[in-house]
Amino acid sequence: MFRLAHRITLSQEEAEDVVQDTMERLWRERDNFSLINSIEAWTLRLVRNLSIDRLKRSGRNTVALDAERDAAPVAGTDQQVEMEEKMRIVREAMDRLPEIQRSIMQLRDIEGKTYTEIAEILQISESQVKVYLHRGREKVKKSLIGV
Amino acid sequence: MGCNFSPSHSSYIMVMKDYKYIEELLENYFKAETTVQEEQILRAFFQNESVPAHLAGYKALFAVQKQMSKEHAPEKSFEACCKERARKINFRPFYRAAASVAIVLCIGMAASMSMGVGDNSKAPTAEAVENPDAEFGEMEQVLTPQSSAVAEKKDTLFLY
Repeated sequence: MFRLAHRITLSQEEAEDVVQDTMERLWRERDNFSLINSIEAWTLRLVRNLSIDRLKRSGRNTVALDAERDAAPVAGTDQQVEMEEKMRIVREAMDRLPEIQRSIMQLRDIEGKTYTEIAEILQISESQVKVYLHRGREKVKKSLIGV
Repeated sequence: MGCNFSPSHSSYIMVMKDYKYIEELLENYFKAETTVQEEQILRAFFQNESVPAHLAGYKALFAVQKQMSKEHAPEKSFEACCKERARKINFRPFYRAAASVAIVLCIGMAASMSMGVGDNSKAPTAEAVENPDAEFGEMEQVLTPQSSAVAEKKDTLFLY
């Protein structure tokens, strides 16, 4: 929950608030759990919706890098420095993606969800999931090619 | 004469075939046509130190994914936490409940017993005894030997 919220809000504090709001909502809805097909998918959908609400309220949509990610000078060999630089570029490219592509890449590449699970969480079709994922990955790939 | 491949040559071909497979996987990966298992193969491949130069550019992508999957990851899975929690169930509330039930039962029993003392329905009444003098004589016959026996052994009893 936290990782998805963090990927969408790109803020530690806001992600923590989203998780807290989600837990409160889960507690309030506990009597309706029997009516929910997949509680995990329902919860992640809630996390996403609450994260998007927070994004809208804060008036930003994408990049707001956490202080934790601000690049500290990397010590090491040239190869290590080059690798760190590439990784920073990948992260920035991922953070710049539109929210839906970012969420799908998070759910697929980090959380290891199947296309079906992602479609259920986001309430879109599997083919839409693949299209968004393809676009997101291509953008990240382009950022690497430019290096 | 057939071709005589040296072991190093055949292993080179094997490596190239493997790279071909990886390249295909990579192409499908960017088209979002890979399965979760195929993506795991890619991640495992790009974890290696020796990635060929033409693929080395993608190493950072999979390294970031690995890094991000470790960020904010819970130390234990949700199921493991639940199992551990279940093992550490605090029995104190159950003890308290049992003690409360015992107290209530004791009070109830005491109350019923005290009410039972007041209920003389089963005690013999004056009306129930048809011949009081005969009853008294009978009791005297029974108790007199006992009383004299006690009197004889009085000194012994005091020793106890």
